[in-house]
Amino acid sequence: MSEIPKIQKGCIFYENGGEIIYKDIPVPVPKANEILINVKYSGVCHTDLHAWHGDWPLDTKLPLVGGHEGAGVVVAKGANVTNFEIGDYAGIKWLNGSCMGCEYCQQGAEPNCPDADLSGYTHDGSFQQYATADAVQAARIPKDADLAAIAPILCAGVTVYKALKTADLRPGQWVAVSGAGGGLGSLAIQYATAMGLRVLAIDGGDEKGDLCKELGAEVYVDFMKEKNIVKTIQDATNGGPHGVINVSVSELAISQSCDYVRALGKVVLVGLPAGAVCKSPVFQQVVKSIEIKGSYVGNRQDTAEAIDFFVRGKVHCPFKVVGLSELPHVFKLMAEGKILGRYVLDTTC
Amino acid sequence: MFALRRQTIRKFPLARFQSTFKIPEMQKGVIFETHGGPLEYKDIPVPKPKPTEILINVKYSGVCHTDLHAWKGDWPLAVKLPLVGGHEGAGIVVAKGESVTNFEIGDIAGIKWLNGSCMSCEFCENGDESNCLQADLSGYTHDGSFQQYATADAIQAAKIPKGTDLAEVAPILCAGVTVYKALKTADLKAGQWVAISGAAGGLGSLAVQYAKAMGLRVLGIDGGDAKKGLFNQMGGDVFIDFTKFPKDKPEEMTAAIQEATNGGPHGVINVSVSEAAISQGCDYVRPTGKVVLVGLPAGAVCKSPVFQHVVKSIQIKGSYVGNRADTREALQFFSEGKVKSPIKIIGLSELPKAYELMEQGKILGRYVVDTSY
Repeated sequence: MSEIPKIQKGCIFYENGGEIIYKDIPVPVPKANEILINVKYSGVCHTDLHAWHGDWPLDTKLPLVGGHEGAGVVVAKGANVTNFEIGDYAGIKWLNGSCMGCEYCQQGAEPNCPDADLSGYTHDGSFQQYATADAVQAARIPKDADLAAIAPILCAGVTVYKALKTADLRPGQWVAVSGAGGGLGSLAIQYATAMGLRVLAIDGGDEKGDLCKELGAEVYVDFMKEKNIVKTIQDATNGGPHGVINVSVSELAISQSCDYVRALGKVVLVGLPAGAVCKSPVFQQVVKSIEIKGSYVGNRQDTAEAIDFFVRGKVHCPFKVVGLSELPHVFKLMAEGKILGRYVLDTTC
Repeated sequence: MFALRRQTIRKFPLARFQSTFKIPEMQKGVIFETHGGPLEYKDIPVPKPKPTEILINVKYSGVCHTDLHAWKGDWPLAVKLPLVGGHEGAGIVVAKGESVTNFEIGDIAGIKWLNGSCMSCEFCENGDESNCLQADLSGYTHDGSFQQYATADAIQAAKIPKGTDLAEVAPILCAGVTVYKALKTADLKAGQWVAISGAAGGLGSLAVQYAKAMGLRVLGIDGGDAKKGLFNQMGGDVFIDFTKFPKDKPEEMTAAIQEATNGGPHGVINVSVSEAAISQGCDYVRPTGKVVLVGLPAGAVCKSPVFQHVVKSIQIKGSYVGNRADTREALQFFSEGKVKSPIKIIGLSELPKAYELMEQGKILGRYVVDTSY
């Protein structure tokens, strides 16, 4: 059995918007209810960029080690942990831990717990080599899984899968994915296809278009080229998509989705642009009888189901591996909208 | 203040029915030619029913805020002009087109918002007839119930049991059906909290009663003591008077609502004519809760901050009248005495006065017009 070091490499920042420093930091000690995971790979989510910038009306801890798509090996566990063994594969999700006693936790809506502890936000996350997670929430990963490939499933995968469940569609119906070529979008196309839905992908530029079609989208709509995007989408789906999954970082795209969605359709909000407001004209919302539903990560059951689709080969996030030390560069590309799929960090370099 | 009417006073004398009715050529109705133009109480022709329609001798019609919106031209949907408004009409079937098989002369029928629909599109197929792209709307695209004789597609016309008080049942045909469907749309469980925003108006006063009949706990929001009194009469649990909170600090009213409901209501039914009230519901609703949009203030936009919408995982659902099954169910609650709209009866000729009071927010419950004067 290898010894657990006292010091490790991680990416930490001391102020929102301040420098992200790749340096030596202490290895945390797991509490009685926690496991310590040797994080091998971590996905990089747009949320991590929002957390670094301090974009949201919720404070991060400072200093902060970000990241919440960590996949690795359990190397230590607290005295009360009964559901993981040393050597098991485990995942760090957005929800690091919750109270398990409030009305939300009681119903399996743990992410909505008012006392939620959030990885890479209020709890040092997966942009380090060793991270702690509450054993109840930590994701179970099968022993033979490809840890780099499964990392994006832990947040992006779970989140879009839950969003599609939230859209409550039937096989054969249309779903529009707004932001279909990004980290979440690329997975949404695949989960939707696996769920029997027809996919209309919306994003910008030819490269994103090629990726979307490759992943299974039936129609690609390029927002940079369309003069009347609402009409184009409604025509392509013979009346408007039955559901829309908003995984872009555009506030305008969100409000537009209320215009092109089919009557009685469901608009799902997932992406969180800074300060964005969803503006839905009331007359239209009532007369079309549409629903706008917020969908926020997923619970433990959603996580298990989302991982299962991955394990069965139905979804695979296109990813590129770079060293943990290159996180600032990844954030730069992300802010410029240049990332196709996901970047995954290798914590060894 | 007015007292709730007792059902016995207005019972219809069935003994005087004849097997055929003498249908006049001319009738009295309220018609307008231009948006915001004069509302004229005058002689107009009695319409002839198409093969698929029935002709109803409208005895009473409720007055809905929608009728005011239609007269003023508030909405992004064109009305027919000239127009006879009204879509809460209750009366007797006096004639029927040759294809009609589900109504007999002498039956009691109701005119709802949805006068007719195509019955062959994907929405009609699923029982979402109100969302039919070819929907024909009473008092909007089809002359409605502010006249003594009106036509309605026999499939959509509401079936009302013999012996029903027609003045009392009229508001159920739109207000009742609409709030009942909105409560179904909110998808709540008995014991949960629902907030009714606009709790003492035509829709609100019915919403409180349907909600109680459905086992919910009811928080009502409206303005002033008269509205509070009506709310308590309807059986509501907690009243929040919006006039008592500072307009520039909406967070105070939000806090009061969340405290009264121990975390925020599980559902919100928006039946007021205030745009600000709609967006505020997104703030005070409980996490995982449902905000239902019903009322249609001119040009209103529901503004929901995305971060809050996602992290609280709330749902905003538009709810629009109800289908034939919803209508039947809503009428059933009425027949069992579980809901009753607090009505005030005036003459059809006094419709302009009702609109004036409505615009000033001074109506408690519903005004119902008697088409005989």
